[in-house]
Amino acid sequence: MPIVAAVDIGSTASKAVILIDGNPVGQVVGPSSTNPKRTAREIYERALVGADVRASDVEFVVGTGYGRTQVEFADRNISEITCHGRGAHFLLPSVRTVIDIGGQDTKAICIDEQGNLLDFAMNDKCAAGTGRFLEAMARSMEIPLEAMEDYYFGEGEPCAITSMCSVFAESEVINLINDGLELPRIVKGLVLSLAARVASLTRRLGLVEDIVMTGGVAKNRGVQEAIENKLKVRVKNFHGFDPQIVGALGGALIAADFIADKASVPQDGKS
Amino acid sequence: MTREEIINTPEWREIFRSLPVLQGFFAGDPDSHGFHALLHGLAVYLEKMLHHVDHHNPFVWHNLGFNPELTYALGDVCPLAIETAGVLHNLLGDINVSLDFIDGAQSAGIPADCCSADKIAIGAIQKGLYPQPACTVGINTPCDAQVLSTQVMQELAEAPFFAIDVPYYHNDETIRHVAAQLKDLVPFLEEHTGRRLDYDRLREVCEVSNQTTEALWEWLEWRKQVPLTQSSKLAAFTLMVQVLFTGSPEGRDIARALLREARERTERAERFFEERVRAVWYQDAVWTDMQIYDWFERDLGLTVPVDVFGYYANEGLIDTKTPETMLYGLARKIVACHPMARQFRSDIDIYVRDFMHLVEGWNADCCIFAGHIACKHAWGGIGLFKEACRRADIPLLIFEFDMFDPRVTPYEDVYFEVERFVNEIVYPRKLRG
Repeated sequence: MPIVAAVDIGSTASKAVILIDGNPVGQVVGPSSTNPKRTAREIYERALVGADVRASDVEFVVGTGYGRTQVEFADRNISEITCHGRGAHFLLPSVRTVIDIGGQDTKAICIDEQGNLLDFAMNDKCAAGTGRFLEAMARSMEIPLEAMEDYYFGEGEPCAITSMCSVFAESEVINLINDGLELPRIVKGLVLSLAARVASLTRRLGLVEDIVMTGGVAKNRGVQEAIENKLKVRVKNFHGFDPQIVGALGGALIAADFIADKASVPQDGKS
Repeated sequence: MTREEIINTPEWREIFRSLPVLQGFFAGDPDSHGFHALLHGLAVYLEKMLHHVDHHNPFVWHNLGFNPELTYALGDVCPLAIETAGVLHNLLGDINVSLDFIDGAQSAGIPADCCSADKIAIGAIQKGLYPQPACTVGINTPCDAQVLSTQVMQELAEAPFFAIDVPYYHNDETIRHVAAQLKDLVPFLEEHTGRRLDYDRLREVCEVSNQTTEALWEWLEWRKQVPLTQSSKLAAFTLMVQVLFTGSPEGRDIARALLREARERTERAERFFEERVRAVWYQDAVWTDMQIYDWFERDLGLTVPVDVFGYYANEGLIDTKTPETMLYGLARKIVACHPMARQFRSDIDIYVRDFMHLVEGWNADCCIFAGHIACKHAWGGIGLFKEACRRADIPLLIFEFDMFDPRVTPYEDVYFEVERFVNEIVYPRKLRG
């Protein structure tokens, strides 16, 4: 009964999953901090408590996410691209395209029928199209981030957000508020702007179905609907599994592969 | 301009200081014939330039797409590519000098999103680093963006200018049209340099040029060997050999040294790195830091046997029978063989075809498309490159950067992109078979 774990240190949120005999038994999401080493330890400890296992019982730990090198107790560091692909395939084997919208970047990941990574496209140079974009806009409108979904499904036609840049979009939003436009219309415009970026990134890979969304933004049904409309395809759901934890789950599955000596994933920096 | 005036400019001083240091460094390495020959060739080239200055011989400036055989055939005339100072600073001098050229060109009104190959040329001319030319030759290859630097060259050089217009199409008519212009160029060069073009001398130059070409072709064949036994960073030097040296003994010696090194290392089955995956590198090499190829080899086991700057297409040698056949052969060399000029003109098909030819011929596991940020030839056809790679089932990495300006995509970012691509996609895929 192997016990393995993964800790995913993202730019906004950190996640941990404990896997016992292939089943996720402890999973935790918490905020990232300016001290990723401490965050990694804390989130891991919380997951251990949730799974009711001791750290000494865990046979293998994978660190993933932007802060993966800061997971000091990890046996291996694996990039989040591979982990998201692996996790999504485990939950839904028919998946061929994973759209991961995180706090700092957006990725479109293409996998094969075994869950192996085939290709990916990434927006990591600009906040537009990421969770950070929605966060910044929510702050400008002085509404909670979680409320954006409700505003999206509110009344009114979406207004056009012409700026793709988060910095300029913020000024544009303030101008729209000053012009008296209702918040649901602005939120819809923002979500459509984000969806357009994500859709264009995803199309670069050829748009192979089934498609799923992972990452924190995947929890926002408004964003999912907008992306579906842009791509003109249905995005599948994981039915009960938190899409934000898929990367950590994938990391834990890869940890189990290492135990079983089946891993074909090179560690960062080593081929 | 005197010898002292040249070597005392801070820009040239740095090159004259660093070149012998690097020569000394590589001279002791028995496995660096190619790179050492290149450095030696550059030293001879620069000394010849100073010799021509000492003797008040005429200079003929040209841009990146022109091959200087005709200038060599004039005798004591010095051909000078206007990109020379910028390229040398990237290769062996101070990258900040090259960045000064770029910033200087932009300050003078050249748009920031223009190609940096143009800007390093313009910046060097603005700084007055080159001896005054008797005349200049501008050609709209290797890509039509070169029109920018040739126009500025014409304006700043204050010397008679001869424009060679290469038509859009890839056919025999284009070659004949360019050959006819080369024929017109001869009296122009004679008039402004005061030298006679001796066709017997041109024949000798063309024969040397052919020997260089044959050595390059054979060298490229040796670089098909798996595993690659010679450094990846040598892949991009063909273009430089053609622009600076073709038709000169130095060019031939560099090509032969590259060949000799590849052959000897392969025959001895030596390698200095463990090759795990190999890539065809498309678009521009990382001129700003060629050491990055050493890192690819050492840390990733990634080799680059060939890139578009290093691929010298086999379209035949120059026929030296008559003046007409020589001019035709030179024209064909310029428009159909010269790296970039061959691919960055006409429709995109030849570019994609060459791309796939390199992938198959050089046994690539993946393709790396390092697209110069200002290059419409790169980005305009990107969808077709993706399609071709998909059909061939070859992973393709695409990222943008600038071959002469690391501020656009820093070294660390190039490193990160390539590492992620190799470790996440290419190598696991190869492991899976």
